Amino acid sequence: MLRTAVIAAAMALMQPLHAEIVDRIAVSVGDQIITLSDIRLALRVAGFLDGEQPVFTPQARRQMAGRLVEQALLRQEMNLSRFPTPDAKDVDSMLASVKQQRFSGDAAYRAALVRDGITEAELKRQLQWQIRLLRFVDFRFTPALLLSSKDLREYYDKEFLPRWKAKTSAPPPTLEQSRAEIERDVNAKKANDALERWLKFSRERARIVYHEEAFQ
Amino acid sequence: MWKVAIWSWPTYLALLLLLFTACRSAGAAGDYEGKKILSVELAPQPGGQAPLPADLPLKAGTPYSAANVRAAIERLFVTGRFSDVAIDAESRDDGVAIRILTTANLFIGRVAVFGVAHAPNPGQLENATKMDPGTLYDREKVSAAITNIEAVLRENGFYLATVTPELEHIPAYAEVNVTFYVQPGPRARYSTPVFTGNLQKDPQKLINATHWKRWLFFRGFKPVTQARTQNGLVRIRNLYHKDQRLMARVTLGKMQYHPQPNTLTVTVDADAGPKVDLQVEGAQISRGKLRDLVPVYEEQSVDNDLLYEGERNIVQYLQSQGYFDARADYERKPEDPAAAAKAARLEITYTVDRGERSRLVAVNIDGNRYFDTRTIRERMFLLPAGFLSYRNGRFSEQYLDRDKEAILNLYRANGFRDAKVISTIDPDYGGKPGRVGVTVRIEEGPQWFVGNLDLSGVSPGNRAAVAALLRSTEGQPYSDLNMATDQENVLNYYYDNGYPSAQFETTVLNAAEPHQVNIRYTVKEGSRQFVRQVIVGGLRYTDRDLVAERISLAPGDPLSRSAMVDSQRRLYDLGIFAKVSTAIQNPDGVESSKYVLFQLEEARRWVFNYGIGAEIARIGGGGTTDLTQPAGGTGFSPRGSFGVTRYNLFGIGHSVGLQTQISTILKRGVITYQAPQFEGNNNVNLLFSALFDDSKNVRTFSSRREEGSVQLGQRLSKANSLQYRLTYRRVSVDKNTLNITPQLIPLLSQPVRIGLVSTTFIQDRRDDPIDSTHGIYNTVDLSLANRALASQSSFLRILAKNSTYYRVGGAVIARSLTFGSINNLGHRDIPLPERFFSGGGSSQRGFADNQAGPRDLVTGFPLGGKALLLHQFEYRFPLIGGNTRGVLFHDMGNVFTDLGSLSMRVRQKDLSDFDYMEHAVGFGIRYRTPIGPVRLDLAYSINPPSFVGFKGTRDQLLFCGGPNPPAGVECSGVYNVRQQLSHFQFHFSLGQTF
Repeated sequence: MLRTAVIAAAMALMQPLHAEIVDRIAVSVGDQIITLSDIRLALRVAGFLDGEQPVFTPQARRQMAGRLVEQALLRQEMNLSRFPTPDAKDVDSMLASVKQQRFSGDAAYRAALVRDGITEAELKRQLQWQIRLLRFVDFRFTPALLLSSKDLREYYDKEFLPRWKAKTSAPPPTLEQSRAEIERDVNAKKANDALERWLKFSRERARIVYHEEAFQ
Repeated sequence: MWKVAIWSWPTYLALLLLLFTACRSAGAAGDYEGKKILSVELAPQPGGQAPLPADLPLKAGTPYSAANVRAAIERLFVTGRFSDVAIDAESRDDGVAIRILTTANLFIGRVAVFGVAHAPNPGQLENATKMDPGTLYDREKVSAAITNIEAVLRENGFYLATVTPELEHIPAYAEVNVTFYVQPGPRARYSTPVFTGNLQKDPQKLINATHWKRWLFFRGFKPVTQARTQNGLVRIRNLYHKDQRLMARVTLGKMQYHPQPNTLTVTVDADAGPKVDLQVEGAQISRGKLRDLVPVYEEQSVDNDLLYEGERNIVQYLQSQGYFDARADYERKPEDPAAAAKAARLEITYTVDRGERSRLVAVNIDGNRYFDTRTIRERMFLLPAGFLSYRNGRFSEQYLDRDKEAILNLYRANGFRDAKVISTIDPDYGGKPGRVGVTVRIEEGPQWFVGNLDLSGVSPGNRAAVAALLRSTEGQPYSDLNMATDQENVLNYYYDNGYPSAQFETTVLNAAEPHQVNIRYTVKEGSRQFVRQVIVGGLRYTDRDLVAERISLAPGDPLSRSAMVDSQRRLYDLGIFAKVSTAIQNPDGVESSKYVLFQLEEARRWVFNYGIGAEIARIGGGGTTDLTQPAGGTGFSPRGSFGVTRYNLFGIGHSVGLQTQISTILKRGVITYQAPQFEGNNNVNLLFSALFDDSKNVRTFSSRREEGSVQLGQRLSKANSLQYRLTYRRVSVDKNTLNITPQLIPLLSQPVRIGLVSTTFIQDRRDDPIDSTHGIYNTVDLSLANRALASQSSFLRILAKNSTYYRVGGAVIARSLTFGSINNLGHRDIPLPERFFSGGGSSQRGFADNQAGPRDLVTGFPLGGKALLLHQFEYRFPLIGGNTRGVLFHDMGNVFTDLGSLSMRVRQKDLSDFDYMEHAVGFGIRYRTPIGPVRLDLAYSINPPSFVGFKGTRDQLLFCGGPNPPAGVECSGVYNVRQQLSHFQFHFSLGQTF
């Protein structure tokens, strides 16, 4: 009798007892929104690309939401300047590179997609977006940078030499010999600083609202 | 049949846990993917709710998709109606039920600030809130608004003010009305300001310049206001500029408030900068002209751009004087701007080489076939030398460039895409040195035409209307101007018909045929918006229907901004609202229908006005017992006026008012009842008036008038209007003041009842009714008094006026012709007060007030007439600065006995003849004030009338004419005293003559 009752209860309880929130706004950034489904998808794709199990804790969601907010601010800027979207062949090329680096073959790749709950279309859209984002940051924040001799010398003395000496006791290359590497590093740092300043300024100007129900 | 093992309790527990875990994950979105959506409902909102967008991706009967759920959330969010959107799903047997949970946005309705009437005014405080009606409401905006209000209050000396917000929620419209109540507290006063920096002046002089100290014998400082503080800084700056320190910098530093004495210490940072010495070498240019040419004075700054502009202006000025080869260069010492700012003196020298003086004797145009030379010359600044003006001609390189550009634009606007304009300058025109000739050669090239005009993107419903707006048409000359006009007209059409995001693109391609272009207009209409509802707020006394009749938008209408502006104008025209704001609620939200807001601020309903003034002239002053001066004497008549008006009577926009005026020659009271926009018609107004008038402004008599009238005004167009009037009046003349032949006194002193029906046509095309410089003004008034209207006198009166104004350079030529005629239709003579009287500052200036026309043959006092003809001519020219103008005038005209007596004679036949044309010339001064020009005219009458008058007392007048004058009344030498009106008259008044 008890057994029957448990089985019957089990059958009944297989159906949900009440309605569930399937999706909602997590953050609004001006007239753009980031939904709970956006955050989950971003976490799954990040986990997939990093080869790690995605974590959906409230902290992880909040952290990913922060990154998506920054991307939303950049998307707004991109749309204003009508920045072009990458071609399908650029996306395919990047996907092929990911497959080659992370997976032993197509079967492993497809199994990972299923395991992480991502479709190939979703993955490609994310890759396309990331390519567009990187190109835009490079275009918007790098060209205006001018490196003076003083910048180069400062970086060589304060960053490059100490790093070299920490790694090896071999005599360090001269400033001229390491110019290309230093320029690349300094440019990257300056671009990053410029991007951070722009993001800080944009965050202050934009109306960003976090809906805490999405992070419970 | 399968046998199941007996489960232990841990097994039961595990199973149950497993089942609950399964249940928790059963709600994940993936479980619903592909299932049929059974229903989609929006969870109820307080008050009304916006309908779901028609293009929402979630629809009953379609398969569930997580992507569509996300898209639906986004679609709802962009409507702007919701700050939060969540979708919940409930699995049912055969599908899934969807519920949309939202948090509605609220929008700002009306914003008002009460508590401070002046400095700052409520409008300034409302602007400071930065809360615009129709935009999104949130609590942070209220806090920010309070901060901003407090900042404005502090700038105006209110450091102890408190601001309390009050919110009124209107859920039906998702609206919040916000009212801020201000308790201002006492206003702070200035204390002695502190000056820092390189002052180069005595601080006491700077303090005096601020005007922050109280005047004359009052001690202490004035109350703080923002305007006073800013004006103080401006005055300090002006003080430095008077000292040629054009680079002086004066800025506001710290503002230190002291609560106990409630005072404010202002710190002013001043840097006097160097003295700027501006000189010109090589040409004589007056200081005043130099100030006009070199913009460092106007801009109150010195930089290279301004100095270079000064250089160009000096060259152009010299060229306009005939020095066509003039060159100029400037030099500044010290050159370095940083060094200049620190130096004691900055010297700027313009070195000018004028070259030889020439005359522009010829401007030739050739090569033109499509346009005649006259059409081209009309567009040119270049002018050959003339006799009266431009003695050396008008020429400069800039003018020549401008003329070439204007000619080129003319040709391009008519399809000549390849037109060229080339100029050559001959410095020795006709072989004579110093005589310059300019030849403008036009190469027209072929005229291009529109081959094919393609209009795409226009929906069928709009096609006919849009096509009718196009100026570019197939087969007509091609024109950039027409294309630009087409774009403007088409976009305005779309904006007025509910398409706020319409776009218009033009593509022009050469056609296969030679000299033809194909034009393609591509229109992107965008989504259409409609009016959801019109929300009117702010009404306390005004009837809602009165407002609703004047709003030309209704639910379902396309959202038209021009209709909103038109409605706003009609509401302002009622004259009962101080402010009419209109806005769209949720303007950036993507939704097809919108609330349109009208926020109204009712004006004060009671308005009082008062004034004092005076008239100084050779005034009438009727009712005089002095019969020896029929022409009157120089008089001074002080006057006072008082009025009260009640607006928005009964809340229907009507008004009632009382205006009174009292002076030594006039007592008047008028009660009016006005109904503007009568019966909702924008162009019709109704006026009732009752008047009491006791005037002595005609020396012949004093009269009393009681009058009632009703007038209907109709505006036919912007310039033309008609008035229809029914008037009843009773006029009585005080027989004891009638200075005429005693035999006529009983007749003319009878009170007369007049019933008049009249109509007036007014055409006003002047640029400025108070001080016209251009345009035309015509009026025709036709009045009929008849027994059928219970009038005791029957006559037909016409009075017509035509005035025209022409600008000539900086001067104005103004002229006016007035004609009037009264035709007696009855047996009784026209009553004295109904006759034409003329003369004075606003009519024939050769006469004193009301002194023109026929005169009594015994006393010599004016009797008025039944015909009037007057022509006035004025040449109005600048005299001193921008506010004082001079006038040369000629007035000719008179009042005549009747129409048949009109005459252009300039001499009287005899002393009993007054039907001739009197001429007067004169000079006047006009000083411009905000309420019109103050006017002083001095006229010289060339042919004033001579007449016989009476030199005696009233008793002598009354009794000496009879057979047996009473004893003691001396009658000799009192009659037939020859007199003449003075040649000189002066008039002082307000407003132009005409």
